[in-house]
Amino acid sequence: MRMHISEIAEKIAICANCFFMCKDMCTVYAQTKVDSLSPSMHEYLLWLILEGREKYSEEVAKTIYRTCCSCLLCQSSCATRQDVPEKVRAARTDIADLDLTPRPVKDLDTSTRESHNPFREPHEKRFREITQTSHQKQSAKTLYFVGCTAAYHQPEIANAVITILEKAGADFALMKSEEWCCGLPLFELGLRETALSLAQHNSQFIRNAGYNAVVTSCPECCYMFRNVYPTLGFPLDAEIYHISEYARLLLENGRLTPRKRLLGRVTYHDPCYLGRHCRVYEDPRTVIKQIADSFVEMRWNRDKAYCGGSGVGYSILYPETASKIASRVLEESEKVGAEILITACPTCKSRFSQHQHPENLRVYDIAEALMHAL
Amino acid sequence: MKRDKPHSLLIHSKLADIVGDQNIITGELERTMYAVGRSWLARTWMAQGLPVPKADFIVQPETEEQISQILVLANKERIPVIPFGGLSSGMGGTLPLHGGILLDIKRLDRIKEVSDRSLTVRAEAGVNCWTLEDELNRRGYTSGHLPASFFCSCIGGFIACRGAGRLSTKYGKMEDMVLGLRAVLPTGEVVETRPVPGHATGPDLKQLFIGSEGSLGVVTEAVLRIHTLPEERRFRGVVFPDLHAGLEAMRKIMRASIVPCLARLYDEEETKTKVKDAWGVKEEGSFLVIGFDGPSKFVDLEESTALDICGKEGGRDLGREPGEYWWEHKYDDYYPTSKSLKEYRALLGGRQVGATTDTCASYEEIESIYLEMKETFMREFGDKYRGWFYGHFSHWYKSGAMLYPRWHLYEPPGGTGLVKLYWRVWATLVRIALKHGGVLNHHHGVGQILGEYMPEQYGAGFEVLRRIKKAIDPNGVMSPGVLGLNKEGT
Repeated sequence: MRMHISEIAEKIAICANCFFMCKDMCTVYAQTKVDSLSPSMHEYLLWLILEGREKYSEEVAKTIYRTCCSCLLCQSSCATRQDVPEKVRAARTDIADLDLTPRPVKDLDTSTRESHNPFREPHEKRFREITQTSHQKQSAKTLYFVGCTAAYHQPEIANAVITILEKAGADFALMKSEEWCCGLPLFELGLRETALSLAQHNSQFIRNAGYNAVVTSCPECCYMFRNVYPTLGFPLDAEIYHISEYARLLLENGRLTPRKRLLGRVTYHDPCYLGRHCRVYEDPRTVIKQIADSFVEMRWNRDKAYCGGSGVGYSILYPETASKIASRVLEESEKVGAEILITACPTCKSRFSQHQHPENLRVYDIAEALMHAL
Repeated sequence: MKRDKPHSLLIHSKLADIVGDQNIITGELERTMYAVGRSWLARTWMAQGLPVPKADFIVQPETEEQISQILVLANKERIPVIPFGGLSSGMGGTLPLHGGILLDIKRLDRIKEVSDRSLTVRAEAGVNCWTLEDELNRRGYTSGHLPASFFCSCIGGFIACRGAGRLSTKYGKMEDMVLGLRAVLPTGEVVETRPVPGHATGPDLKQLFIGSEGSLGVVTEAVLRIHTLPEERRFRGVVFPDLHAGLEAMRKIMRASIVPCLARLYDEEETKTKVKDAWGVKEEGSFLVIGFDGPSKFVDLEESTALDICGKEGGRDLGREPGEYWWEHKYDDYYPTSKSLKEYRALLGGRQVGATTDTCASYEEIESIYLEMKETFMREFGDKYRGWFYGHFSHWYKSGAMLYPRWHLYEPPGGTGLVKLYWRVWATLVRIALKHGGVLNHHHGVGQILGEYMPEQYGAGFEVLRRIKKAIDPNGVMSPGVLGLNKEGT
């Protein structure tokens, strides 16, 4: 079997021989302080495998799954801009090919294959709490792809997006029972087969329906559609927008006019997949500055923003570590005296809301914040 | 130390009572990674398929009290304990040659107090260097400690090996930065020294732990000096016709009580290779990057005075650009690239050998040490095994300087001959330093690698160290072998 890591052997060797330069930047390492989970060390482990001095095993698999939440924060401190999640994903794909994936990862795979979401929720409940409106027309050329977290855990975000689109007078459609998980968590976890089947399903539906724009409220869906589907052979042939990008356009075009202001000091958390992965930093800020009286940046922002700990299934697989990771963002927001923390990711919002945070700190998704201001 | 399975389970259970089972790592793979780190020696053993000495347990305490309990247990059970920081040691200081407990201090990571009035910070030993500096910068201060291991190492590790950063000429080494500390003795008692700027109350107890490399206890907390962020920090490049001229200029600058925050003088060989490749300075001779910081008026005065001295010694001012570029890219060299990867892979894959043999000596001797090291290395090793030797001087005092020689051999023998050669080069070079009144090491520590030469440096004084070790660590549980003490283990 040719290993996927063989295809990026040089990139792995670069990290394996590095002087631990991104170690304390690494989100997982910074919380666990377990050295074998730091980027250079797990890449050294892969290097040993490439050199035939170590073999994939269940113990290796446990390390490789726990070690990375794909936040890409390491890259922002790397002089040679290494993409560690790419290397971890290749190793996870090898591990999956060898059927060495840890049980919780297999469970997540099964859940997503069977019920099209990673939460073991019945598929028929996906749109149960989503508002149906007259603006939703199957003939519309714009699709709002709700995403798993907004559908099952944060329907208020989905409903905020729907309200925004309505107030802008946009006709749009929902996929409803045809909407399946975008597949990014599976893709990042090396579960390529399931990711492919999800991508195939979603892309076929979207292409057949002839949508020319797809709006997502989840940065992971946005990244998956924009950057990964084409590489898997399933381009959507549509413009992909995160709601923060779409809302900025609506505001610029005068289709939305904020009528109320957010009272209190606002800060913004850059979600990893919107920021570092999609490189969308300014659109959400532009939107927020139109609705906030007072805006303050956290010290670690844009490409250096702390991870919220929830990405691509990490919080499902490692909830305790994910919770600690999220606490760092809340501490940062507290340090700048924020009263309102806005993120642009349903999963991050979910994590921040669940985590204990200062009583006077309110947490919103950007769609909710904008909806309140309209 | 070999322990049977039931005994190991018992120890595990007792450790779990102290720190919780979730804070103990026993996996074979993880213990291997902790042992190997980026150490050339351990990675070579791995590459050669040799067994790597592993700790039995990696324990991650969160409090000083837990550390105390672990040490009491270790003493009772005669288990080696190796305090462990950022995994950046290249001297084998945390290599668990005798197994035991690797005591990872990085979860003691609170920055407890910053005093604006006294310019101090109190922080736990596991606080990462970068994290500390970031927090201080946020408040308008700096620690002045910017070592190569800035992004991965922690306060406890710096204290343990008397670390130095790039700005040490002005801001000092770790032994200068620590005002006071707390440490757990090998037998579990906690000692604290008062964080005063000076005292006349006997020997300075804190200095017993600074540089002890884990052999005399576990440093858990320190009060460090801090500084207000400078109004201005400015760098320049100067090139001298040769190294000797540069050394003379720097000696005179220090003598004139000019205190550059940074001064790094490269020999001719490093100037035409690494300095050219990494920082784009295409000059013959000996390159000096020099910097000053503080109030702008002071910086103006120091810089102009230093440049006058450099000029009198034949130095040619290259302006600010090469100096500023050097500073902005000071860490780039530590990131492997496609271009440098071949050498890294060979070095850390057990096919080539190289190291750094830094030392410190008086101005009467430091140049002689450099010249003799270079000539001897090339004669005995470099010509035979195709290698290079170059060096720079980067920590300056009024009475002497630090030499940072680096060497590399491209075609060493394979198999066990490789590691034997490694030891031979070390022995040869450090003995040259000792012969000229220098020391075994300036800021990386002694670890396991240089331990056997400690009696040669200290003479009768080494017996004093042995007695101190015996008095403080009667059962010899702490870091056996480190500093050349208690090499036989517990």
